[in-house]
Amino acid sequence: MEKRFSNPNSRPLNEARFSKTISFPWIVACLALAPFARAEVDFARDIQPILNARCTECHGGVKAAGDVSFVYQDRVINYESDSGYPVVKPGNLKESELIYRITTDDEDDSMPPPDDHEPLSKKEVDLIKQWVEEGAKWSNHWAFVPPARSPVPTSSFDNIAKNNIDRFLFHRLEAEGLKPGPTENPGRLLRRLSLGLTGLPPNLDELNRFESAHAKNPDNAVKIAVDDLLSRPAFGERWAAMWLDLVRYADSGGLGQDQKRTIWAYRDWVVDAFNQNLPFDQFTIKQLAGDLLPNPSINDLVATACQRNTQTNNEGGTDDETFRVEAVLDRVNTTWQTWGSITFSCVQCHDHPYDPIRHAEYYQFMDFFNNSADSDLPKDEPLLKVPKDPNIYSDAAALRQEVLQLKKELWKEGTKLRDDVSWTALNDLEVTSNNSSRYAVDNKAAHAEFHTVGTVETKTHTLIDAPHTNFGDTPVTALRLTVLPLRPKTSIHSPEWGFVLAKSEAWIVSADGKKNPVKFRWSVPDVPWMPTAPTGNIGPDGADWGADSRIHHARRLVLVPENPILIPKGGSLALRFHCNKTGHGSHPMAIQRGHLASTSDPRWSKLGKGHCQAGALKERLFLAENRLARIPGTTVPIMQPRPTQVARPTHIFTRGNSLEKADRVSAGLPASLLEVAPVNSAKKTHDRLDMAQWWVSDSHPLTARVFVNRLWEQLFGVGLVPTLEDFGSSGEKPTHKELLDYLAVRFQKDHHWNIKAILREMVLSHAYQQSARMTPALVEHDPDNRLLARGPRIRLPAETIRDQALATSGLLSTKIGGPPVHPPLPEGVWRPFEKGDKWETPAPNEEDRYRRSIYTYTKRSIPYPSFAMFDAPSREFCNPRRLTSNTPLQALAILNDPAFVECAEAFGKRINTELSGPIEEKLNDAHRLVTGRPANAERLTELVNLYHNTASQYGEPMPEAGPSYEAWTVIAQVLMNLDETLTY
Amino acid sequence: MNIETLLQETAQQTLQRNTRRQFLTHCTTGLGALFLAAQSQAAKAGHGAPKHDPANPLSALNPHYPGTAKRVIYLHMIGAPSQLELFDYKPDLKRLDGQACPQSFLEGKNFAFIQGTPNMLGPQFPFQQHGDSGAWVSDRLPKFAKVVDNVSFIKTLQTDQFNHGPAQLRVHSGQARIGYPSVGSWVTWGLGTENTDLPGFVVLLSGGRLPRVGKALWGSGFLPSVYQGVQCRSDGDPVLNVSNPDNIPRDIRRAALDTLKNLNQQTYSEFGDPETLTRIAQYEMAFRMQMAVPDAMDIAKEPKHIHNLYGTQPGKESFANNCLLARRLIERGVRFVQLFDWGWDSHGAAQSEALNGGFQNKCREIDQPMAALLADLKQRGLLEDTLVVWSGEFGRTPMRENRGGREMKLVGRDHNPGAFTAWMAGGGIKPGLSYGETDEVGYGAAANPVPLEDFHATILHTLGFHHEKLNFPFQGLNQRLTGVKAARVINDLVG
Repeated sequence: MEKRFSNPNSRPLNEARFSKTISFPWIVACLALAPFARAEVDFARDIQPILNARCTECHGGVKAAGDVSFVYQDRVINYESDSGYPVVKPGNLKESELIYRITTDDEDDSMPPPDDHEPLSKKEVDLIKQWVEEGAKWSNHWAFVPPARSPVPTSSFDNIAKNNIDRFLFHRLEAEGLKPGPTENPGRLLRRLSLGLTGLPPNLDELNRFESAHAKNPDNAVKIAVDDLLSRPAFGERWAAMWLDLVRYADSGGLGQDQKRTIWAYRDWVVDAFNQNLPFDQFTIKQLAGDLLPNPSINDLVATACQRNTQTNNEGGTDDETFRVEAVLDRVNTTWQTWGSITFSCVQCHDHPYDPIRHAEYYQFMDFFNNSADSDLPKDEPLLKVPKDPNIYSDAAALRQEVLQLKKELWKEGTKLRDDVSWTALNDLEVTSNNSSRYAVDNKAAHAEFHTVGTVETKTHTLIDAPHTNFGDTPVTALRLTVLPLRPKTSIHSPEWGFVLAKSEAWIVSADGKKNPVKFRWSVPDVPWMPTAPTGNIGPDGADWGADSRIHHARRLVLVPENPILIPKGGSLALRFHCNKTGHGSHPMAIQRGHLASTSDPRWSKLGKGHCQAGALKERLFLAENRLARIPGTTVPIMQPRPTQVARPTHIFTRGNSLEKADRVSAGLPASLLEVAPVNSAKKTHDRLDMAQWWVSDSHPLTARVFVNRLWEQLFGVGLVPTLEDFGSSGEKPTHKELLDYLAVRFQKDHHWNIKAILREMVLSHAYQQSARMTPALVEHDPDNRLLARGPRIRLPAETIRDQALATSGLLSTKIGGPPVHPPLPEGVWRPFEKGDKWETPAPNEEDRYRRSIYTYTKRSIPYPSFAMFDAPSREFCNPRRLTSNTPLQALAILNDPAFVECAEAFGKRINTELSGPIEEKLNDAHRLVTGRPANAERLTELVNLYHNTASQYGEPMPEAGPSYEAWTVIAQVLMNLDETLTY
Repeated sequence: MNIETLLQETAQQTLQRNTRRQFLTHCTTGLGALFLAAQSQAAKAGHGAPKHDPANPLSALNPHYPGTAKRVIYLHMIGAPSQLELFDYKPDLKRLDGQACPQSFLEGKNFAFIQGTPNMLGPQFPFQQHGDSGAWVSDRLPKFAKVVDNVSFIKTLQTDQFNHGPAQLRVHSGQARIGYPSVGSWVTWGLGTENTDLPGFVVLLSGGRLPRVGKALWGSGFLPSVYQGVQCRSDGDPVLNVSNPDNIPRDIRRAALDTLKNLNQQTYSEFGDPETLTRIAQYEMAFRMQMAVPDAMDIAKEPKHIHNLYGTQPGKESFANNCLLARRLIERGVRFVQLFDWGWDSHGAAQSEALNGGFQNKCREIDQPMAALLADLKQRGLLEDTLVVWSGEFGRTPMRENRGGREMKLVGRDHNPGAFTAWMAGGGIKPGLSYGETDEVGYGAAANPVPLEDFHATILHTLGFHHEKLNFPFQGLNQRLTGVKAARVINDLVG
């Protein structure tokens, strides 16, 4: 082949390319595990991994050097890139530039650039050639194609298969020359099931019962145990812990001050949802858009607090809008990570480097979340009152609906009139302030517009004087204040700090300067409700009014005086608008631009008076709000749509920078996924509820797979897709794709998203119930246990390590739910920035000292030390997978942390006083409590010897003579620290 | 089985597995299975990700290229000390003292507390040039001035955060948000540690309150948790849980650990899980740590002339004690020692922090120990390959703070992200230089601005890391300390 023109643009960033060379063995590893010889080349299976590993760093979504991108079909097949040749011409090796580039010896043209890259292997080149020859058929990445049921395969181990899960696994084992392991020891099996399903170990009674039932009929014994475990309240507590990592639940706000946040009602909702076995589709819809459901229940609204777990920043001088946007971006990223395992956050700055998702699509998705009422306000508003008594949830929900409805009706009454009457613009205004802020007035044709000039101080009150000439002898029945952003053109996409009007005052000023106060009786804001605290006297519901914290649009307020105002000749109307709020410590939230109008329409004088509609509404509203406020309970921050008349526009952020705004976009979903999973909605424009329903729609390729994969990973220690965080084409491939799809279809279609049902199938498999013993050969062949020729053996999660210690020592409280608790904490750890945030540990024997770990107060900046030590995340962001470490500090935690020492003492005491029989028997039962199985003779001897030696060192009598508390504590510590105790 | 045999077996296992891996180009696991998963994740990012012995994720490693520094001591003055009262001498500002601040300084700027139009505030203390380098140092740091030839200043450090929490995070993790690895974690991940009986990354607080974002300042973010900073205290338990409960003496603990080891050894024989061997090794390491940490933390063992040098008082929580501890720790092979002093937020809102109040005490508290640390490191030959860094989280305004728009009783300055001073010494940093120049009032950079990215790239460079190659994939991005923006090493400062 002759040398062709080489395009200098196709020279890629060398470093960036290098990484993929290194990752290559991993791809090969996955291929190596795939046992089947293949006839036809499949693009997604065979070609895309090579391209992703070797090419897309420069020819991908981020960078398309030489105008070549291997992410989109239309940019590859018959697409003429900068080289002037089609990247790939199907069936034609000679004319496909790709083939030339990977085969040529010409150093200038060869790809990857030979100076510091390994060339493609012969095998890879052959595969690509074969693909082109076979017609270069494009296929989508597996995870973007809906799961389908494959025929259940067979193997020679089918006689021990307990269900189809085993049949899929066994088939693969056979192909690899492996075989399933024997069944696990019954005690260990029950322990695995208990810890796996409820996060708590079995007690001696349960072990005894199970062991004898298992001896008679193993399968039946397991089924009975599993059904029992699935029905326990501890089930919800265990699985909620997994979910709370994903939705980054914490009892504090993070960022600057990490102030306390009351949001535990959401945590309880999650526990309850798992316990009630709320189908996963409902679970999804409620958390993403429960507020948009028709007549949402209290629970539907509490579920939306999922979105309010984002961090907020209340530190002085911080920009609310910046952190509101941060929170919205985090909702986008967390949603895609949690429900789709897609690294959508990549798309914040550019097209996805590997997956077919465009930069603009990120912001279309962001628009779903951009119009909620919350805006990084200090009290986490809007808040929902959650009654203490769940029996009155429906009453409270009805009452809340009534309040909202009344506000809306009342507001409509006022705005109807506002839009009906004719207004006269006020001119010749004199505008000043109470401080150093200055106003200028432009006398325009339409109206006199006033605006600030220069630096504006905080707590600026706007003082306006409107001369008699504006009114003549006509009485004024209402005034209309319009507030605009200082820079109306730019504020629509880059909103300015807003204003909060806390009080309006007026005076009739006579010609000689005497002031006579005017009383306002009524006001009509431009939105029916705002998430501000009801402290002022502006709105009809007594709330402050304004744009808190940002202003995008013109805002209007009508003020109605008690009696029509008559301005004397030579006199004027004086107004004072009080704006006292400061944007996070230092930003003035003042009226920066505006104008005024008045009317003499007599209808205003009747509004809200006597027997008219508005008056009655107001009275009802007052009563309803009072009733709602009196219900005892807690509050939770929720999602609430922002009124449409003040909707925020969503723009693309150039390179992900929120300060650089590009085109405006409206809500939408990525085209590549819509192709396979259309939105099921008749609405013209889609809202957050449509988006929520889309995730659980019939043909969605990701949701069911992603969730069953999470459940699998929790039980087996490694997911069927090991990269829980990435189902995209740069993540690892499923080890058993047919099994993953089988489980996904079964979960979604057969079990209708029933979580307990799919978990039940997983734990009833032989795979889960087999012995965890490894042989050197097996460790060699399958070190990660991805093929499951042995049972899972995984280090317990942080919460379970503490819960197990509490359970075996007999200290554990089984109380469910409620405000976060403060178990013992090592000294010197608790030094919160917020002084009022106290860690007060209940006294020994008080129940709240021994609650399950999920109820421990979760402060982002001061994680509970033993949880952090055992790899629990601090919950700033969605955490899709915990990595397990094994460190000396963990050893020190279980040996010396006061909470664990207390458990050891209680456990020691329990062994001595509650367990029966001679010392060997006591120790054997204690061993069963922590490991599930009896101790063999060798182990018993070790423990007995330790006991005797320790007891004699403590100088105390032998056990025959009486209790020996310290020696028993030492024994308990050994048992609590066993490798088997920390593992299942 | 005794511990040596055990460790040998662990090492043997590792070796075997590594050999196997090369041959099978096969997915891997074994000791620290998921730790390895993290490693593999990092390997995907590829660019020179450190490859630790899976049995010991803190194993000492070589960086990308031979560095000039082997370890770091970072002195952070929480609250942001005023560069205008310490190192950045501005005679012009003195002339403007008391005059109204020009509007051009105020427009488009965010302040924590300044309102309306504040007045300019001249330097509050006299400055003088010192040493051969002629570095300007105010009279508040007389002892430090004597060793100033050892250090080089960066006068134009810049940040984009003007609140303490995010700004401190920005200095330590490159990001203004919680959840990213601190520089100490990156370095410990990259280099491991030379003494596994001690934590690789130690944090020392001068007492008082915890920095407001707390442990996030020394967190490991998405890196494995083994790389997070371990807070050591000079008062009480030196490391969390390092002391046995009162009624468990060390010999009884030893006996218990022997039993534990034997039982776990049986578990290993039965189940064959290499992770069990790692756990046995970690318990043994914990036991050794229980001796090594209190020993390292016990400054009472130092001779009198050393106490005189630093001004230390054993048993107290103080910056002086922590400076001495820092030396003891790096001497023992700790990789990164992070000191936090506090009380530097000189707004003038309270006596304790005002420039004409508490600020002067703070200067006295750090002057002698800081100078002593440099001298002591030097006399032991440690300064050569130990990088010492000093900074706050942003600078302070040349305007006098006027909280609430009114003149305040005490004198102070507001936050200024536009320019602040840091200094570096040792570890291959050329001494006696001053890099970057601020404008005539010290408000912004006039020449050679240094964004934090460059500052971080320079620190990593002295340790032998290319800042772009030390990265870890998270949320779809190859994350690095220096972030996504381009960063450059300050070549003028490195050898």
